[in-house]
Amino acid sequence: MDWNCTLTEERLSDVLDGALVPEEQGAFSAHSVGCERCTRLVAEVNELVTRMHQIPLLDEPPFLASRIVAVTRGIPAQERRTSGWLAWIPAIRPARFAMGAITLATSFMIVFHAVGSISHRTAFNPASIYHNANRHVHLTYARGVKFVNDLRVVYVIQSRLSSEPQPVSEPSSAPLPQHESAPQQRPPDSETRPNSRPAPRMDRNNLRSVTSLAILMVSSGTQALLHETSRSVP
Amino acid sequence: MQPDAQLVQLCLQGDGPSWEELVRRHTGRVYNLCYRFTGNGTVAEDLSQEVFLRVFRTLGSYQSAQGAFATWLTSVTRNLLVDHYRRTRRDRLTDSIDAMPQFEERPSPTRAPDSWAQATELSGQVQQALARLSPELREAVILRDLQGLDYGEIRVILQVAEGTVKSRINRGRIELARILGEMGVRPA
Repeated sequence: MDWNCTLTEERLSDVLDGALVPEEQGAFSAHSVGCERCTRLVAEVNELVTRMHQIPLLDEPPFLASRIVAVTRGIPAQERRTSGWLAWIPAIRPARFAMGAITLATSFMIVFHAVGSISHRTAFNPASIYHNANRHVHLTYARGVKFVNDLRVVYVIQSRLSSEPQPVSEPSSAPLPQHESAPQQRPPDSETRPNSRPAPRMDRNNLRSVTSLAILMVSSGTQALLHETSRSVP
Repeated sequence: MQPDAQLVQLCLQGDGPSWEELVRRHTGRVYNLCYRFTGNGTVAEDLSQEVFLRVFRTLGSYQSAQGAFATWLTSVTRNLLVDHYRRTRRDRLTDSIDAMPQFEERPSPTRAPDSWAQATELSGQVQQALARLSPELREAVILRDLQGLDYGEIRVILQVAEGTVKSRINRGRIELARILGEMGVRPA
């Protein structure tokens, strides 16, 4: 039987364990007599293995076993068989988890509302929080002023519409409002003459209502647009 | 001393002291395997705990007819070590410090100081060399030469043919001897 260096590496365990059959053992011995490389390899690995077998097991850290027992003791018995893709369900089942999640969500809502924007990391500085709160107060005030102004415009337009010439056949027992300061005089005016000619009067009222509504809608839209623009600009 | 298989049966019936006995009996072996593979004491502790948590949850799947409890436990440990190795691969690639494992061996109260110093020196040198082996060669050498398992047990644990086991052990030993030689550690 022929023996070579590759065989020495491949059969090294059997060489060291003395597990070669007599024919193999003879071939190996014959080869290693003239092969310094194989002789050195077998000697080095044999020494290494001998020394490694003398290395004792490391002592485990104290209390490791106690810690493991304590950890596993905390797991209820029915959880043992829980496995696979349903294994996460027991983790979210306790009421504590639900309460924690709700509290966390509420806290985030409160903080985000107070801060206004978290696009910058500095948003949580006391100065930034004060700045944002101050801005919100001013925005609210400006919104209120705008709303009052819008109402004023609506009354002006309504007054103009009311001051248009009335149909000739319609008697006028009360003076028509001439300026914007007297819009409140119109409802009693319309109510005192319900029987004369209701249809044209209703048309005009409808026209006024639709116009007022349209103006209010346009002004509200403008207001919202202004508000969003002011929020997006730091 | 009760056999492991009997303790396992008692554990499955809800017997706490039997579980505690199983843990105390095998913690050292599991910790050693984890430490030798990772080279980090803290990681080895965490992994040991993870091993026993998994064993606790899957104890019902252990069949004593298929082999010894220690072999099954070593299989569970080895699978977790492979998972851990894959999980931390990216960290090792980006963090070169991991290439130099920390050694945290502590003296054993049962060993004389001189023999402890020698054992610690050799143990540390082998540990450094092991860290440079590929994981499949490393686990084969650890199981054979540091844990003292036979080829049949290693074949069951690694789920490969016995020829492959021997081949890995051979290559691992040769590589380890070469690395130790590079480190200046020559067999006496």
